[in-house]
Amino acid sequence: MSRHTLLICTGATFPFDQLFEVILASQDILLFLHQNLQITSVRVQYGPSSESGTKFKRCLSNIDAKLLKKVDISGFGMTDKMAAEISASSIVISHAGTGTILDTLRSTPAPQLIVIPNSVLMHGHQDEIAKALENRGCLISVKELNEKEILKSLESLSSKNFAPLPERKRLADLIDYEAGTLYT
Amino acid sequence: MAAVDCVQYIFNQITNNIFIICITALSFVLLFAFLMISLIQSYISEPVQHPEGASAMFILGSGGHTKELLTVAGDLNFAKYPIRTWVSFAGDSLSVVRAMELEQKKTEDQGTAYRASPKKAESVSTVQLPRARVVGQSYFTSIFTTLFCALYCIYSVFKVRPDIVICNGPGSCVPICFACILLRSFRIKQARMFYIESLARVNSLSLTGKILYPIVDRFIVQWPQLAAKYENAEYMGIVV
Repeated sequence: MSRHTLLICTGATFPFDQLFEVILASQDILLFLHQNLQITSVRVQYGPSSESGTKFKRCLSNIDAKLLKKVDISGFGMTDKMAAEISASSIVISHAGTGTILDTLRSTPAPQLIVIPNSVLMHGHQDEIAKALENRGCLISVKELNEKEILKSLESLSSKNFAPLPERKRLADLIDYEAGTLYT
Repeated sequence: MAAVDCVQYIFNQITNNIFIICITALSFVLLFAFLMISLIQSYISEPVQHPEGASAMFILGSGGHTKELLTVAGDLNFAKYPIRTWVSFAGDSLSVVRAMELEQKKTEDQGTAYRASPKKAESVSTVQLPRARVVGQSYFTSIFTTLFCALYCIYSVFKVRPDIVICNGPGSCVPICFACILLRSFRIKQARMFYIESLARVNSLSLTGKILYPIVDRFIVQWPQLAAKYENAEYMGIVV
């Protein structure tokens, strides 16, 4: 694989900033990414608010300068080019929002996907989809947001065969039937 | 003495006007029965054919909801839906931007074929509805904002008179579907309601899904577990 980029997605509607905070605070994770997974660049999508941007800058200033020479870390708030960011990455670590999951799994070639459900959100329904898609082998779901669990999931990446998301079915005929335009 | 007089007076009034009261009550009952019958009829009859093209209303939730809905909308041949209304909610400007991107892409993709069907004048519009409750708003004031939101939804649906409404949550599509039911019972339009449950719902329906399950014409789910639980839910695989 020629892509050596890791993308961290926190989502836009209810940004999950703790995600990049935990990853960037851990020297072990960053070293593992560099040494075992050949990651040379990390892209962080933080929340659209200025508060999230400040958090990101604070995280960045706490990282060892030597490490930053090996792994380039950059970030952005909102972007129109999320699809391009995803397809340029080899690994995506994301909140378990349906939008990002679909964007990643439908991207060709699809990056390897690790999701971490944002448990404070919507009575844990991010949890449901993460588990269901993990059962189908499409992604790895991390139960708890901490250094140990993330490292464990990164270690399992090399031995895992990811299954593609089943091809999508089209509803156009059904909608046309209901709208009375099927035969027009 | 005065109290007895008063009762006597009311009694006389009622007996004198009993005919008018009965007629009024009866007409109310008849009107209600008529509305109910036309509503039930609209459910059991086949969809009305629109060879000249239909009017479609797309309800854009936000974030993942919008993405799922636009994916489904992207499969449609827009030439069959010359009148398209994109509905979004206050505070979410990104959904409209995404919808307009799809419109742009469709025009480019379908090119001449798209223009070659001038059966009905094309009209694309966007509607932004107020939110029922903003996060952090007090419950007391939210009674009034919800009421305002519901009335605004009814107004918009009556103005657009869509042939089909396509939605996939969140809660804001509930008043829109109720407005469709009004359209149908008054025989103004047979506004069909097409609901797609979000891919995120695997084992249980969303609250919106539970409310809309008995009233929509088509209820699509994306996981087999849900189709097993709800007999009128249709499962065909992942559609987004």
